[in-house]
Amino acid sequence: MPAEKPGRDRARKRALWQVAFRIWPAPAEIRAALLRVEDALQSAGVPAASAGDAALALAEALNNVVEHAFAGLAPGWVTLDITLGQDRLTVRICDRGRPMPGLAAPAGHLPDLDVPRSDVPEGGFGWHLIHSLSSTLDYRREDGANLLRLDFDLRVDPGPDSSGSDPVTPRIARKD
Amino acid sequence: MHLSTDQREGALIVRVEAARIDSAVAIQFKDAMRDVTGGAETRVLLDLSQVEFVDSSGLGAIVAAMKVIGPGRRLDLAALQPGVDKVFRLTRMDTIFAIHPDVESALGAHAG
Repeated sequence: MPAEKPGRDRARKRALWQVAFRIWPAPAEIRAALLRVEDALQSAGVPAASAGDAALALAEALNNVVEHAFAGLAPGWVTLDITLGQDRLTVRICDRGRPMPGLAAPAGHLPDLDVPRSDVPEGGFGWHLIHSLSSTLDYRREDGANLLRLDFDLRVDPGPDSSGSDPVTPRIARKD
Repeated sequence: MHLSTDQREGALIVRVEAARIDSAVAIQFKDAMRDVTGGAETRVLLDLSQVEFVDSSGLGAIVAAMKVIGPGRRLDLAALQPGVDKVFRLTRMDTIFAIHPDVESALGAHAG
């Protein structure tokens, strides 16, 4: 309906919740951050399945930072910036590791599974999952940093207790 | 990474007693699977009912466990939560593993 469009656009522009924090690129730290983000999204009214999808894509992106961007390098802080709108979640990940090969995010083709059992691949699924779970993906290399932005389409149900206050943000602690 | 085991109806049932199989525990999972399935000669049924989250590292560890169990023995999966089931479908790993709704039906499927 034409009358709905301006309202939808306004809702999209207004962030329901926004947080930025940094994490150390190590598996246990990534797990802790994912649990906090998923919990906070659900508290903000994001359906469990959508929060789980976003957490999985974020897990894969952060695992790639550990395994590839900082492979053979001294690791450094990774910055996460997460913005939740009424119908979109945007996650920005910034690290100062190696650039992606060809300065482009991998296309994420699934490995060939039509192989003997002993040859079934044990990896190579991460980018396919990221592409499958996100609605848009943007990668750029700027000033020696990798900037990956993932958008997720979703519907937020703030619930009956929703008010102007923001009870969610304090649940994600800044890490210094 | 704690795995509990039970031998029933010609199958070794291995239950993952953890909420996540992710990059933080993938290697531990693989080693623990090797330990608990090493002596058995029967089909192995992996009960994932307690597992809420599997990432591609965890998926790779489950594939590695399948290879360790060997070509002569099956590794089947049971009781996947929705988010875990989605990972298997998106990666087409549901074409590699037999996936059962729960342990009981997995045992029945094998008997029949």
